[in-house]
Amino acid sequence: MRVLLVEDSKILLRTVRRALRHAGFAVDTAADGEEGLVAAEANDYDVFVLDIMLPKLDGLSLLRQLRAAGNTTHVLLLTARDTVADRVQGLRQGADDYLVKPFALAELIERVRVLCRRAYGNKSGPLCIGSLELDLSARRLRRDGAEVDLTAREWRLLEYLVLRRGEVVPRSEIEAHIYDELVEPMSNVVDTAVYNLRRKIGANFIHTRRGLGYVVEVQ
Amino acid sequence: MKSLRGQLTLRLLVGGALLLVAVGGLLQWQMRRALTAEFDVSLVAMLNTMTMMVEQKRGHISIDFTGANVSQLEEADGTEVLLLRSVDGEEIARSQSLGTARLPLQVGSMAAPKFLDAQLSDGRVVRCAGVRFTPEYEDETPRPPQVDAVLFVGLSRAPLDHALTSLWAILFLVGIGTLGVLSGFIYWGVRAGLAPLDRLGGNVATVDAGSLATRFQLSSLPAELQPIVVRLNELLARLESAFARQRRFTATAAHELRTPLTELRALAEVNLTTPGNATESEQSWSDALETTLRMESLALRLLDLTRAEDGAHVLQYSTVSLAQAFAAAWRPWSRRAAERQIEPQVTLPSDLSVEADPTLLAVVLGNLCGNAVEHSPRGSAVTVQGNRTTEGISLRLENRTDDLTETDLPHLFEPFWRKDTARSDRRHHGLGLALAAEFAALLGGKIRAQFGGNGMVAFTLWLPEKIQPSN
Repeated sequence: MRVLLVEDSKILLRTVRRALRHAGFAVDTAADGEEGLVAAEANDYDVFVLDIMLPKLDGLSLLRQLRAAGNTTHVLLLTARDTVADRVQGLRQGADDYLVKPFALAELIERVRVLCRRAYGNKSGPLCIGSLELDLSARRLRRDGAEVDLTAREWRLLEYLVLRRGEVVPRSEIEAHIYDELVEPMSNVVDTAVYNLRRKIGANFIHTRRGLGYVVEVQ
Repeated sequence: MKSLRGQLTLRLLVGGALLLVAVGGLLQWQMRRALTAEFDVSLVAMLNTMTMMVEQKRGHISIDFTGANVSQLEEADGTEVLLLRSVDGEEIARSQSLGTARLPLQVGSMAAPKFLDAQLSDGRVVRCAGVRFTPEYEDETPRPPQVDAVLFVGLSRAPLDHALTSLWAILFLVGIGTLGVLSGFIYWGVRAGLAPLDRLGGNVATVDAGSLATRFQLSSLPAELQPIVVRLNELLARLESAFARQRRFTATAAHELRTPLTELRALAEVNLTTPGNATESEQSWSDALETTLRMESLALRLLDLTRAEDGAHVLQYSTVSLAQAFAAAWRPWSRRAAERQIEPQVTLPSDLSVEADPTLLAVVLGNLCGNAVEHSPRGSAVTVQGNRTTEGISLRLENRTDDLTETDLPHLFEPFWRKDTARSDRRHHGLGLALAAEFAALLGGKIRAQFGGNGMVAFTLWLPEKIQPSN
């Protein structure tokens, strides 16, 4: 899942990015509203996390412009303003959720995760795919009843493919949603990650459609 | 609770009632006098008639009722009484109607009879007239010496008292009726007269913190209420402005505090839950220190501001050269000014000095310098001039501004106010000018900001040359 974090506090930007990445998200960052707008228009994100009080272009204006341009990506607003009027204003502008500072990182991560799931049809709860038992909320994977350890990046890949199960997901989309701006285009990180994932969960769950992408078959 | 309407109604009613009692009393007194005078005329007529019937013969006085209707005198409960005495007190004649009553020995002359009221033994009250006079003589020679007689005649007061009682009853009833009608008029008049005040009170009662934009119309109000409503509207405008300022202060203070708190909390949580490498760990500690220092700076600034507002600073006055004080205040900013290529053009006469607390003055000047250095466009000049004016010693800092507008001027000295609503410049809290204004006031002076044209903004600090005794 790929998240765009727009926050003018450099410290908060670094800290939240680190926490989100640790939680398995691909995170791009922007320090002001204009930079955020450019990033949002250039890339395909699952969730925007926007501070409201931003230099150059405030978070609500940025949100308005995104919605006006037809961008329907879920938005979580971060702000120090906690009145009902502020929340209502944010939600009316098209935000999907609202988090008041100071917040717990765990709550922020969970809210981002919920918005990501909502982006793919609200598919939540434990899933059983063959011998795999996948709990996205608890980030737990069992294969034939035995716990399987995955890295954060492997989790991201598996979660993304499972949320889009039944669909052939192009390699470019996986790159766009799983990897952030640090990954170089044209690299074979997706293939490598799929290879590593297959080694842990077995080769029968993620199928390659040559020239098209990967798919997790619905059983 | 005292009601203006109740008090006014009560006072008007009491006043009306007292007026009615006074008028009624006067009327009754006047009528009593007139009726009594008329009654006394009847008595005098009776007295004249009776004196004509008294005669003296050889020193002996007698009364002859021949030809007169004296039936009331001869009845025990008659309405007329008579008593004839010699001057030495010997009774000559007494009417049956007088019974055994003794009459006071007070008499007047025929020209001015003495009138008095007497109660008879059976309870009847009579009004009498008494005179001492000389009865007519029988023709006799030689003439004997003249002898005077004393005659009392009286009439029952019953008709007079009845008339007076009736009059009093009529006056009382008329008074009560008048008071009732007056009460109605007073109630209606007070109610109608105070209706605008009631409406105004009702309208004022609906104003609360959420409706401070309300203003009351003057056109429909009586002239007496208009000055009050004018002041009320002015007060509401000031309250609205103060509430708006307070809301801005709270909102920005919340932002100023919530953001570093969020940073600290996030730093702590991420380091507890996310294993990081040495670089990340070092960065976290560095970030935590930066945030803590910023919060410390904010707390100290707020404390300074609160102390200034409370007047809790103990001032140590001395004579301070303005040129030297400004040079000292500019020094910490000179490096930053050089970075931004900002040139100070200072014209401060060396003889300009003020009596002030040097520490507070340094804070004021430091904030003005910092404001000029940070907010002037790169490569511009800051002009500093000092003058002796009628308002004291003035120091004027003028610089170009690219982002301020006329509407920003009223907010410049508000705590936390910043032109950049995103508050992206985290080195400053927006408290400097507020603090400078409070400290200037503590020093008995003031700071004003104004646009000087051509995109120039000028901050002028006035300080008293000599400290006033009140300071």
